[in-house]
Amino acid sequence: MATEVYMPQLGLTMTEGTVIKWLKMEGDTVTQGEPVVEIETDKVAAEVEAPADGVLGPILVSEGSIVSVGGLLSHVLAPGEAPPALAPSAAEAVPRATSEALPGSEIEELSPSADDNDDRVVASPRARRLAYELAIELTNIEASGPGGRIVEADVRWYADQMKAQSVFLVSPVASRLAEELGVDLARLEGTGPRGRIVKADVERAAAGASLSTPSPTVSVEAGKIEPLQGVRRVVADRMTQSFTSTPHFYLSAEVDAMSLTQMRERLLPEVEAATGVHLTVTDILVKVCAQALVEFPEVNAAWIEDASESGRLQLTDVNIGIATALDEGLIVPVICHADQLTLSEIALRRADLIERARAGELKLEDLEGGTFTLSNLGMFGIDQFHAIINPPQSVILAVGRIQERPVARNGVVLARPTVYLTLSVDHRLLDGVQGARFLDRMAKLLEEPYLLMV
Amino acid sequence: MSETRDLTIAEAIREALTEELDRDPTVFLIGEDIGRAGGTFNITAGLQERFGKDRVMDAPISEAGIAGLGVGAAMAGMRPVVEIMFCDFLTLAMDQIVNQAAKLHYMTGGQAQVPLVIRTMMGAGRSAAAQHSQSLHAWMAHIPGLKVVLPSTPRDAKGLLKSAIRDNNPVVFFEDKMSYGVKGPVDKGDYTIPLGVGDVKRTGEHVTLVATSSMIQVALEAAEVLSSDGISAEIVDPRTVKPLDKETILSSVKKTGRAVVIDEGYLSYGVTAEIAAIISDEAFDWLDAPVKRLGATDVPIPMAPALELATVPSIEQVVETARGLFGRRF
Repeated sequence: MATEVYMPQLGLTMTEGTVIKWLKMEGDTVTQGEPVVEIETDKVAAEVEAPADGVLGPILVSEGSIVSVGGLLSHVLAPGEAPPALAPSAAEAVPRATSEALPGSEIEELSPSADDNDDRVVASPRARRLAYELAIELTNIEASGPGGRIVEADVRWYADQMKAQSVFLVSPVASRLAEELGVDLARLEGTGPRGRIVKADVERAAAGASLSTPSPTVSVEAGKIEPLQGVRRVVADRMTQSFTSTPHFYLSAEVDAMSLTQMRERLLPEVEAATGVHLTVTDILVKVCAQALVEFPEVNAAWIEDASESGRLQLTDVNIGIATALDEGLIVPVICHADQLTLSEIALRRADLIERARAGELKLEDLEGGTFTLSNLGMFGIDQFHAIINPPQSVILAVGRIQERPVARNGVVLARPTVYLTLSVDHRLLDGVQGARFLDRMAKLLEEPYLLMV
Repeated sequence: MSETRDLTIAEAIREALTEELDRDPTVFLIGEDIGRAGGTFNITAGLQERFGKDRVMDAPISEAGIAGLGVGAAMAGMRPVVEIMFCDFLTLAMDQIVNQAAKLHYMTGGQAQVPLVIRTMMGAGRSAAAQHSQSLHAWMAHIPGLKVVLPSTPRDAKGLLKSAIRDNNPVVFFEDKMSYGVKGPVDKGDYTIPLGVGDVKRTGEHVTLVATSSMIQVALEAAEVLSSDGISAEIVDPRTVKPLDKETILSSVKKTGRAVVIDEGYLSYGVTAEIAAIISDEAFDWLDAPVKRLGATDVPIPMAPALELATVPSIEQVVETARGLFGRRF
């Protein structure tokens, strides 16, 4: 009997997926559970497994095509069995759109339009009982049973998905194996793409080789692991989430810092006289970042993701966060409306925030609302580094030290003060060229700071 | 369990009758052609020679008479085992069974007992046509005061028949004519299987097949086919439909969440309806799919072999019905 290979629903909001790569070809022998095709959604990449032992039938959807959830991809056939005849609608693949403009003002709805023919949820008594016990709304659950009935397995599957999505990415094979072996996925460290937990991770955990230890070669004495608390725990969780779920790319530029240095030295006494505050390179960087964000509003955006929807949120305020090291850990106080402040006002605000941060007197509102983060490790002798995006922001700027470096100009090597800027970019929100233009503009503003007057 | 050997159901029944005739002098057999001829299917072969004409009696062709004789003898302290050759002929003995045997203990305030066994044959498959092929056990099960037994294996047949003979109430014992040749291990010597205790003939996780008598073999083969789909079927044999072992059925269905009830009696108003209703009622919150029923088609059983077979639940039907309860996730 032919068994359908269909597009699975991997997340609550998933309505379609892209066929990335066929791992098996028509006529290949497959065993149940063996990956046959790689697919990708807006959130995850995954492998679809053979639902039965047999031979893969004709491939109905070419690589690169988008298929609705439940759409037929192929069949697993008994050896020698003819593939079933297909209704014209069976393979409802549509060609992938080549480029997608992201209109900016609202969160774009990526969730499906609900089928509103009939509001009644068809669910078996067993499924209803389990859903009640687990406090799950039946309306959220995708039915797999005959006649579109929600059965117990659907409720269990949904509950597992909820659990998986709330904490980590996990491959279907790993998920099933973990259930079989009784391995707690929450304790695993994924080694797959984007930190996804893959089969090998589960097997290793099951074998007792590795739980949360960073490397199997490190032996851990009982009681020596210090659980993180407070700020350190928040940093750990947020950075892990960002680094494992945000597709980062990095852009670097070496910027001539001669004018920047001169400007700071020239303005230092003026600002000090006006405000009593020592003007820093960071203050000028804040001003430059704010100006660049005004000029490139597409960078001033956030990636919003929750249970019901995900997409791009255009931001209007320009609020610059400054990554600040405290003994207890990293915090990011925010200078709001930095685009509307003078350099003196920025310096004053910055000094106030840092002072209160060190005194442990920051309020929640001092830390909220950042649309952009600046991380400057120049004062610690760092030349260049790559920062992790502070979600849900689109970019973070990593600034190294200003240092005299050999620079070639018109065939002559000169010693010039330069600084390395490195921009980390969320590829879901911005492409390379957009990031490059933005970074180039910041470089220009730093090299010719009088442009800020325009 | 003690030592066993493989016997057919026919041999197991003959062994039970022999041992009970040996054990208890009040036990006697009466029926049409059971003595000199040894029974239509040789079940009683050799018994008259061994126990004599007083204990293994050939009767005239009068089902009402034989049954009435059995009721009277039972009330007088004997343990008669009456054979009604085909259960189609129970209709002739209906008054004796339904209005006398089933009710006398009650109507005499317990003064009278009717320890009567009626052995009879059910089932299609031998081109015996509409008057010799029915499975009318639901009629008997409908009547309070009667116990109804449907063995499916040699071991069950022997143990259940012994229990029936020793029971102080009237028991109707249905033997499937196509199953007489079914072989299986049977314990040597004396043992009984209580009436009202079901048996799990195969353990499984995903669907419960409740089957009786001849349908156990069908269910076992269907379960093998289903296992190749990854569907693991559990088979519950109630063994007696009255009294009915609800607990074994319900605990299986609560585990699997799905049930198909299979019985060779007519579908309408039959055993499957009773069992399906009990499941729907008492295991409702454990059901993951509607309870399905398979029984004989509601027509007089045809003689033509192809048509006759089409009236009885088949392996394919059981497989398709069970598959229909599953989507792609279970």
